[in-house]
Amino acid sequence: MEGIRFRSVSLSGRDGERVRLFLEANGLKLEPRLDYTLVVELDGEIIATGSLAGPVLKCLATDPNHQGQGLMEKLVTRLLEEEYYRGNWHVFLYTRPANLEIFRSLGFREVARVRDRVVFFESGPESIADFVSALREKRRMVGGKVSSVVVNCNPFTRGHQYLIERAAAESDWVHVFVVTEDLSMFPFAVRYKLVQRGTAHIPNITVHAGGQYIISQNTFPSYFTRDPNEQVEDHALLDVAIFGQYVVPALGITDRYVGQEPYCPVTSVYNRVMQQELPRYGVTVHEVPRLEVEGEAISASRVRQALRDGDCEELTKLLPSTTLNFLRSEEAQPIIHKIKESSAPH
Amino acid sequence: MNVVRNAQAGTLESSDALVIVAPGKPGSGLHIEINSIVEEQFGDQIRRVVEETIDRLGIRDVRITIQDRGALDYCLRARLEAALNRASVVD
Repeated sequence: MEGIRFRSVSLSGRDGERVRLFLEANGLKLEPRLDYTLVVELDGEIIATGSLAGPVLKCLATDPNHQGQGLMEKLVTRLLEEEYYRGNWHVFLYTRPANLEIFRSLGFREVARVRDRVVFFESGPESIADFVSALREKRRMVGGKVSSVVVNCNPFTRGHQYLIERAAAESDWVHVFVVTEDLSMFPFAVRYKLVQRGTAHIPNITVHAGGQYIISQNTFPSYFTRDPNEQVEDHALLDVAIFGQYVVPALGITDRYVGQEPYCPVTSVYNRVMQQELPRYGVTVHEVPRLEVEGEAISASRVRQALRDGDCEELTKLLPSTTLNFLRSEEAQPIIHKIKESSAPH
Repeated sequence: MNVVRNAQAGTLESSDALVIVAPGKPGSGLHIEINSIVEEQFGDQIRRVVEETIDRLGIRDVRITIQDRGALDYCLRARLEAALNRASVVD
């Protein structure tokens, strides 16, 4: 192992190009939004690399001529140390099934897999078993129609309220999961509070935080980037596999309600994958047409546009009183200010 | 000694072990997860080393994850003690 050097590199500039070429030679892509990248070099040539994106290890590759020398172990050790240093003790990883054994021997546990393409691993003291046992404590019924709705609510609109009310009216119990990831204009704490307030009149409902495994940055990164690329389907399949294998049995879920998606290509792929996959887990999917106001579907992005335009009349039509009241509060002003300054879809 | 935060010690390289300790809920006791390339032959021995160390240090509620890559007992003990020290405040 003479002449081998580990180095963290910045991807802007020449090293970024070298990492991209090395990954491509090994059948991988340089993904966007990486926070940290390590390269292993032998006499100046890259022979292995790996990156971090939040708590997820990504873009890991070793030159086939240098496999079996413990390089991957060293690389993963360093990447894990960096994660721990950043306070991420619950670490995730996607890999091809061909690499299963090596990551298992490094202590990664399989969470779910997408066909024969991708395996999703986790490591650390916390695990999906903890998530499942926490969910089980919130199980409300045995038997009956138990429905689920997963929402981001950026912010909570009359459309979300309509979807949840409909699910509640047609079910014995409804579990609503609010996407936890803080990548939306409205922070999670606010989105969660607005869902609670806007559904307080519904007696047969539990509102949950979606957590690490339901549409999170770990399991479904493309949901947040809205790039309609080929990975979207894999991410959607993974999210649905986790939902079907873990959430469905923990809560006894029989049905899932989703809003029809006329605008966003990523969400419409997600809806299609749900329709196709969830019945395997005994779950019926109901795609509910969006509630319309003046011939146009209510959406959170329409609300954000109205906030940008300062169109109060439009907001009154789109939002329940609970969300409107929040928007008038002191706490909402910095969020509204941020929305006005941005044109991002989230 | 009282485990109050997460900490780690060791590596995933051969003849070593990566030990992670995390605080457990009060009353949850000792929770050990061992993942070893030599689990069949040495799983019980590893477990014994962990239990002895925990006992000696007077730690009660803790979650320990060990990725063992064939570490000898004294190496494992050192990694474990280092991680526990990093994770603890002395009462």
